[in-house]
Amino acid sequence: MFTILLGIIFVLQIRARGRALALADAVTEDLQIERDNIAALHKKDEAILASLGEGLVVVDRFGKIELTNAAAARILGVTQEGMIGKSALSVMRATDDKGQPIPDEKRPFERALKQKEAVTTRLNYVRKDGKHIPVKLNVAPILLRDQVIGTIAVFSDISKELQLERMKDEFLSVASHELRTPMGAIRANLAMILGGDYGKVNKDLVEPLTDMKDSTVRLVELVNDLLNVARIESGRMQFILSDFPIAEAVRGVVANLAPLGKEKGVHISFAKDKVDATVQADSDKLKQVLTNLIGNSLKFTDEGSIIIDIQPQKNAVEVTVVDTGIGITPDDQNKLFNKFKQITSAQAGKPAGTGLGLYISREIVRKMGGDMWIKSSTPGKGSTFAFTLPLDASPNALAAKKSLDQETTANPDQK
Amino acid sequence: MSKVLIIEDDPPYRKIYKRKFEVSDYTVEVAENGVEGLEKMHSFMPDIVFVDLMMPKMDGFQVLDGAKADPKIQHIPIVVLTNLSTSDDAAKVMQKGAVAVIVKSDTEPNDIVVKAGEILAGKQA
Repeated sequence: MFTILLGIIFVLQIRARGRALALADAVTEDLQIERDNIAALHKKDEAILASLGEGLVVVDRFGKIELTNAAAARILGVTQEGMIGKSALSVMRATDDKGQPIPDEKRPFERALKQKEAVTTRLNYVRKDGKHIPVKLNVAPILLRDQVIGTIAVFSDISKELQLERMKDEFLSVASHELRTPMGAIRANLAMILGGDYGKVNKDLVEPLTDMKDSTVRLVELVNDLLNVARIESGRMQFILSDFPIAEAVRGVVANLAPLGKEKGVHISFAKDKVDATVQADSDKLKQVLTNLIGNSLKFTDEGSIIIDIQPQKNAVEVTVVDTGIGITPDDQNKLFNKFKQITSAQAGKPAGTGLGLYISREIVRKMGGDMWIKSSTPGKGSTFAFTLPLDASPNALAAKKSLDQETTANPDQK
Repeated sequence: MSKVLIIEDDPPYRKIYKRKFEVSDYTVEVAENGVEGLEKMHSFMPDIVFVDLMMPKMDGFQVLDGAKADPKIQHIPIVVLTNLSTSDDAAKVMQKGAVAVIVKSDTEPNDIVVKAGEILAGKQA
């Protein structure tokens, strides 16, 4: 009995050992497969990085490059090996759209690292030979348990896109000029026919001829606006800055537009024409902006008044245009400064504009170191638009001057 | 009657300005390019000249240069007509001695005759 028991234990032991050995073999085999898998994955990762059309750079939390790919090296004009372990800020020297070096603290890498924010931007990388490569760049912090352990940047060379943009701008500019010539001739002929310069006009024809003339004027305005957008966006709009009393410019525009208001029964007035403040601006452009703002108010005001006021501030003046017109809903207020956006609530029965006027006006004011916004608006009661311009020799005035000078240098063909 | 010379290569504009000045009691002469324009400034001796900027053969800038360098015709006021509404061009032609710059597509013919009247009346130097 005892012998049999021992025998059974012995057999069981042998089987167990066999199983253990088999298990060990299996584990070894699994490990090998796992190792092969990892190696394959690693190769695959490398192949993916190498095939990626975008440049990729991973930087550790000290700003040293840990990982990069072939496209990054190609765009930057360096070797991949030459990048690893180096400081990203020094290997990837960057300039802004005006060709000025970007200070370290404003570099997307630093912002992603220090402020944990993902940044999408355009900038130039400067190669060793001094060539600027325009890139579109996304940088994001790499987070591990809420800690930033580094950043990852993906960027692509956008030279071709920028070239296409420039061609588009040039096309728009040439086309606009070529369009203006014949449209101007149509407009002039219609004005003369209606004015009786070719004899008395049959009274049935007055209305259709007037419609034709108004439509032509709108076309001319649209082309002018398109031309202005193209100029602003390509940095080719020329600004001639000077220092002058703001009240004088406002007074002139108000005097020009007051008769138009009178025709409609809307009183246009200048509240404080004694304000003594000297601004730095392009006086023609300021007049264009004011004419646009007051013209807009007049379009949407059927009775009451439009009052222009000036408030001197510390380094700027704020100009407000207050009307008693139809007002703008909060929803529409957000869309107002967008390109080609005309607000739906204002359109019924109103003369259509190009939807570019406010966009252009705000861009012009911004280029001159100011800003423009809707101060308040109540549907049915009226709106207040405001814009600022920097006082002469104020910090914003100097900054605007510097920035516009740089634009002139970058685009000598300004119009 | 005052005499006006229109130097303009674009036929529709030439006809428009000729007609407008004629019905406004001016004696009108036209030229199709800058070379012809300078010749007619001598032969016609206008009281005022309107010149287009972009023209073949000789453009408006060159007409201004030529006229202002010529003692016989340098006194004649010259107004520049253009469709290139750039402050840059405006500054340049004013520097070259033009009395005014008018953007064609933004102006009605009547305004141009009014401008001529003002300049001839000495309201604008």
